[in-house]
Amino acid sequence: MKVVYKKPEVLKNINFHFCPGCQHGLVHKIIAEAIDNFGIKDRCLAVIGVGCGVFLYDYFDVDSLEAPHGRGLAVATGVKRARPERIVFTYQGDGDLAAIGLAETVHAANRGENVSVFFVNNTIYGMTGGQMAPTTLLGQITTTSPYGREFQREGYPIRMAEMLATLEGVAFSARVALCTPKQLMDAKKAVKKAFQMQIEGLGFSFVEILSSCPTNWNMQSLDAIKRVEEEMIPFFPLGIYKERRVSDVL
Amino acid sequence: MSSKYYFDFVFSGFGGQGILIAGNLLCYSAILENREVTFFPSYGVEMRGGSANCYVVLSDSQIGSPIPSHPMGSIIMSTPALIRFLPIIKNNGLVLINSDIISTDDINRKDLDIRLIPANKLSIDVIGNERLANMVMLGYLVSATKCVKIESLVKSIKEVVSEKHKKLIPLNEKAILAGAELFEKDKRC
Amino acid sequence: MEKLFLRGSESLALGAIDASLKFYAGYPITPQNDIPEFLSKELPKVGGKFVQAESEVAKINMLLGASACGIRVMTSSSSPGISLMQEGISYLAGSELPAVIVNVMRWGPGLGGIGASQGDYHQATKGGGHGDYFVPVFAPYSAQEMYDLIIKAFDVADEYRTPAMILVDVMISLMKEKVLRRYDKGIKVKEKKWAFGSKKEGDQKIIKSLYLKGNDLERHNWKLYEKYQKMCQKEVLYEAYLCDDAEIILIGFGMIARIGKSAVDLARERGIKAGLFRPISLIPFPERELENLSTKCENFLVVEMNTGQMVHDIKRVVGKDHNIGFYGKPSSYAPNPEELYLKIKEYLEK
Repeated sequence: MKVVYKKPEVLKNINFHFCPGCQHGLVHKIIAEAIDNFGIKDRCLAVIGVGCGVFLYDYFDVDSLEAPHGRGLAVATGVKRARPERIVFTYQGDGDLAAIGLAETVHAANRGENVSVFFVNNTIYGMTGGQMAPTTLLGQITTTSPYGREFQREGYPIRMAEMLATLEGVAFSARVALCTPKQLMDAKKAVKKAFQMQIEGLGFSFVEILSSCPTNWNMQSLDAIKRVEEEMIPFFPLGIYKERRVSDVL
Repeated sequence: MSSKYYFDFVFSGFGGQGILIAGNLLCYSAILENREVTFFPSYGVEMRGGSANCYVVLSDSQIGSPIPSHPMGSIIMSTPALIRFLPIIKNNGLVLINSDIISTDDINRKDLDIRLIPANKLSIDVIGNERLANMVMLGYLVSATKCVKIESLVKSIKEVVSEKHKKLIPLNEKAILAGAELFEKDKRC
Repeated sequence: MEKLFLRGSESLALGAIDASLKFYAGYPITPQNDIPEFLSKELPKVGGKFVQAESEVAKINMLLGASACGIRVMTSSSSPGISLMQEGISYLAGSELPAVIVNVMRWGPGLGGIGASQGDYHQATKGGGHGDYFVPVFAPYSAQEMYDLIIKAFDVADEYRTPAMILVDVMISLMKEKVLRRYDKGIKVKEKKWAFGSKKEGDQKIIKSLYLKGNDLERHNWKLYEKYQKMCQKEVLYEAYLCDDAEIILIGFGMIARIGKSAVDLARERGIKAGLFRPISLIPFPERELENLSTKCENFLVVEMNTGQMVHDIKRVVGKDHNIGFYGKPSSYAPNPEELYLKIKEYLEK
């Protein structure tokens, strides 16, 4: 019989704990497929930020290190310097990477640390219960922006993929989404590319993944997907913002 | 910790006069003679205004405080140094003053053994400029206190000076000996 | 064995290299800068990695990452920087990761000043970061002890899987002395089976400090406590100088203890039977030894370069029925031996 679908090998036989309609599970699966694709399961070392992704080590059968909130890329720097032979990736949310950990993120990127970063942007603090994130859209209501985010009061949402693409140390920076089959294919390619860059030693690789959070958005799952398409993508355009080639560093 | 062999000094002047180098060399010489040493330099706000000073303690057993309350000997190479350290020198302590730089009008203690040393002039005689006045002073101090052998001092220069500055070794040696000779001459007078 | 003439800071850095330090992350702050300056030059020569981090916060987390890979890691800072690192130190303790943190203390609170201080005793010994943990703390008072105790700190950090701290003031780090380089051939470090190797071997390894299930967290915290109890049994270091027949015992750590030694000598010369007790390990604190002394001696004079921090531990251990005096010097200048001698005299006359 022909196998048309199988669970990635690096994933354990455990059901995800994520809320219905949340796309973290899908992001996990794409990363897992990329790890399988390169056959790097044993070399992989996950550095996990604080947020909904914190239990990644429950699902992935890879060596895992928990970082303090926001410090993922400082921790990853230490790991990669100590064990350059490992494939190091971080899995971080918007609060973790773009608020409390912004300095660590920008400087690790600028140093060109040879690690891969998977940044899940769902415009909200999920784990703590739906507070305003640095990526929260203008007008978006959260538990700490009850009148809707207003730029005079709360500033603008931050565009990480574009910002990091300006740094010399960054080898790859892209933004993807998971709403349509095409977007899913592009997301898979970008995640693979991020690992590829690290394997080739080209420097910092960054994939921002727009993701839904129906629970904290107070939405039905399908409406949440629609919101990603209709509200998030116009502000956070998809695409590859930087892609370094081997010839660029030689 | 009571010691038969014990010396404590303060060296003070301006940055660039080689105050710290003199302190370091003296310590190094004492280490060559198997003594215990501490070298404590000025730091932080103390260094504002360009002053440089260090405390040197030499002993035959473990040293307590690296900062003596009342040093028994001193090398003074600037007027601010004189004003600051003269009051704390031990009774009957030895004070070597570079008389080419410092006016001696301000000296108000009668108990001290004060030696006026034309160190700049002697340095000029030796190397044509005044840059080794510190070594002249050090040569005099070592000769006067016998805290280390002059040979140890000369040997320590050879060990401390890098390959690049090797040609300066004989000059330093000469400056030290000039200081030592001046002490011998003073003794005879 | 090499005999060297080194600054305290150089001696400490050299000790770290001989202890097989392989990763150092630093950030500039006065007065500890000569440690990163020395290591940025010397560490790469022995196959170690030096990183200048973007912040104190980042660097302690770089240590966390590198330590998880089983190599010896260290950082140094001065007081305000140590405050910033407390989060990371708590995580290191929670994740049971060894690391050595050097605090060349300066004045606080706030920006304070850069002079010699012992203002961080409380921060170092009473936690500093959040949570229920102890960090072993060693307080050297000479260039030789800078060398010896940094090695000790690495050993204790590995043995107990804990961050360990060196607490020192700028006078000791600046002062040059003779140092015996006891381990010039280097020290061989035991392999750490719990750490991440070159690749995954056997079961997945997870290093973390989050415990949400059942009573995992309670078990974890008791485990940390047991380690501390074991340290209290095995790792106490102190020096008792002329304490046996003393009518008054001076107590201090670090530089002021060293000055205190000279003051004790002065006092003895002048007919006062003085002694000095010096805790070298501040955590674990030499409680039993101090208790024993308190059965023999009535008078204790605690001297610190702060307004009184360790004195609370002395009062706790020695008890209320003793005379415990305190002399504090919260300024950039350490007292001289004469000054301490006068305090001893004054205290006895009261």
